[in-house]
Amino acid sequence: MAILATGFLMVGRRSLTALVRFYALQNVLLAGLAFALSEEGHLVFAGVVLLVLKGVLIPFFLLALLKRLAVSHEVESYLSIPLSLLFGGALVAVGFRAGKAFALPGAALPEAVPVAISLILLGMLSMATRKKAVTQVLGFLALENGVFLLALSETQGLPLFIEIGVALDAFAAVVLAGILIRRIKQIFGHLDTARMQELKG
Amino acid sequence: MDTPLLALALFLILLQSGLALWWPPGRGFPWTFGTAGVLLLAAGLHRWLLEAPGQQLSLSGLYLALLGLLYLALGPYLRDYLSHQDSAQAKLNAATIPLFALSMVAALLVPPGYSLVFAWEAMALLGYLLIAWGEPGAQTGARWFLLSSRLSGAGVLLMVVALSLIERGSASLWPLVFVGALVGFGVKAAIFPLSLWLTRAHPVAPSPISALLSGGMTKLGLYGLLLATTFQTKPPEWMGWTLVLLGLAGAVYAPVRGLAEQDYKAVLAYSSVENLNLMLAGAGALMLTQDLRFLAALVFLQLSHAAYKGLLFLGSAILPAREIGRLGGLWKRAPVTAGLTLFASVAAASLPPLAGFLGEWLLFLSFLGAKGLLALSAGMVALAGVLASVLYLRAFGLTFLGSARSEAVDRGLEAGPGMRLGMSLLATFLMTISLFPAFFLPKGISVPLLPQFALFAGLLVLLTLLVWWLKKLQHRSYGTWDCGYTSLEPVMQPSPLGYSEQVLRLFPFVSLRSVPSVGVLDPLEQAYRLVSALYQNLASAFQRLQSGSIHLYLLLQFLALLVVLAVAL
Repeated sequence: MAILATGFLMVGRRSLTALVRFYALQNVLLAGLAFALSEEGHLVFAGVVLLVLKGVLIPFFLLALLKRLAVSHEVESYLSIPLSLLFGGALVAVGFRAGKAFALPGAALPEAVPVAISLILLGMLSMATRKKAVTQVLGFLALENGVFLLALSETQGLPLFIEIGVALDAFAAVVLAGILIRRIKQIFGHLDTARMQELKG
Repeated sequence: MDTPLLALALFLILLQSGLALWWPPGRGFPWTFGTAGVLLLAAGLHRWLLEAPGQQLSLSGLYLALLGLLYLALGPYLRDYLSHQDSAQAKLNAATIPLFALSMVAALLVPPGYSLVFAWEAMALLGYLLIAWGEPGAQTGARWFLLSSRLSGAGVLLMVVALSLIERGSASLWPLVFVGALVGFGVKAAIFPLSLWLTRAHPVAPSPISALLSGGMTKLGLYGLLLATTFQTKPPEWMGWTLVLLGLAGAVYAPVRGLAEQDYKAVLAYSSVENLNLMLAGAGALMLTQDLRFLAALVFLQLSHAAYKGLLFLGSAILPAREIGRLGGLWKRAPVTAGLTLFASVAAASLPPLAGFLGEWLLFLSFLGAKGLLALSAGMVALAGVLASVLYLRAFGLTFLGSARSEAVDRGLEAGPGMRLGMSLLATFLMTISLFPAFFLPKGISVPLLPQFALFAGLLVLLTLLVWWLKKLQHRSYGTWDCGYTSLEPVMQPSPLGYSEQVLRLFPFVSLRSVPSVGVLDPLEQAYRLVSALYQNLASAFQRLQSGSIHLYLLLQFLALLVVLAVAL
């Protein structure tokens, strides 16, 4: 539930730094869940990796990036905050409705499935409606967390290598996105993806 | 027993493809292609005559023999043809033609599974390359060919996939098999509304390629359709009726449209469409009635069509220009080719007593003897035959008789000895099947054949009498009716469109127009234009989605996810 609340807050806050902090908090909570579910050894390991990588490294990287690029801390969106929250609420309803049907018989934590699907939907919502490239990266990361939570709750623990792979994958994606965002800032002088519409056939 | 023969033939063809890369173009073709042709002919006839009729082995035998005949003729022909061409391009052609020939044989030898799809696609791709490497303007025609091959390939793939699913137990897929076969093989055999590609692609291909495409490849479509009838004890009725109706429509439409055509090779292509659609109608009737007389008619139609259409297309290589309006009087420049073309034209016009007539006659009789509505088709068959005669009268008369309509004719040359030999081989085969038709039917099929020898002898006597009588007539030349002209000019000869204008008036679906320029109004082409315009509109409507906005793309993905969730619940 707390995870869902962080997801909701990510949709609802205006400040970019607050967004990154909520993302970090979400990761810490996810890691805690992984610890709680760990019957075998490797979930502990995965939880540690998650905690270090996503709870600490990625948020710091993003915060440093924001500082260096001197991006205004305002989230610009197509939808106003109340409207986003309203849509978010509707999506969570959809997520819960869909999540019930998605829970597999042998799921480790069937209660978390609707939460995971809601997270995925909320991540997509923020990707689709936010204007800045940084916020889209954050939306993507939230979506990725939803996928991780889904995997955690539906299965009896994924193979270790796949989990580490997924975590490293997310880290690599963030690093790449960071470089990309810096280049965009250098070349265009802004991070507003709504103004980039030239690439089409 | 015929496996070693086939293996040797395939090896020889493959060997030729490799040798062509470092030998001068054309060298070796008479030996490799000729031998392979003889082997295929022997193995094919052996299969066709001795295996149980109506099964895949025996059917493929008929078509192997047909391909063997064409390869046998192409052997000596290609040696002369390729050695006269620009050497780099000719080398490429010399290496690719055997591969194309190989892919056609392969399509006949493999069972109807994924290997058939592979051979079929190889055939389409190599055929496309060979057309596109032809004259400079050949690209458009080659693209027509490729487009139709895509459709055909998709149909064959659908059939094969459905067949493999049926093997695993989903018997409700049988209709899909036949839809796939109808589209896949029907398009290759130029079934009526989908026949435009043939008349665009065959005229621009080099002559030997046209001969291979028209004489050989299009028949493989018929092979496929007949093969599809062996999958079940009785193919569905709707398939038979579709083939009969579309085939008859095409058999009347094509020669009329051909009469409005000014390009000699396009006229031949339209005649191919007419013949193929007659065969398709026959195949459809065979599915409906299971009457083996239709199969016999198909045998003669196809074997003779391969021989005469191959011969006609091979002969068209000597034409200095393709437009009939610029030709004329070629008989004097190339008497041997003209004579052979005349012989093939007589067969193609389905005049007795040659095998072309025999096939149409049998088809006519079988339709007449069929029960119910099918008997009405006999009228259409007869009409198609008459129209074909007019078509060939015009094409041959305006091209080879009279006097030259332009200076281009002065560049016309007689075909080389190898080319003449190749064409003569086809003519010999045509004569053989005309004189001994009973030899080409397996034991299981008995049909009333005409007394060919008596017919030939009678016609010969009549012809001699006619010549003798004409010689005996006294004639003199004087200027009573020259109406003040001192000499007759070549432009006073009938023009290609003027010649057929009278006939075209009888068939108002194809009309000539004179404003703003002389041309043809063809409903089929208009329909194609309409479809292509619709497709273009649809495509540009979809392209509006590509606005360049990342948010729109993300939103679309988001909506897609929601829709999937909604469907899944």
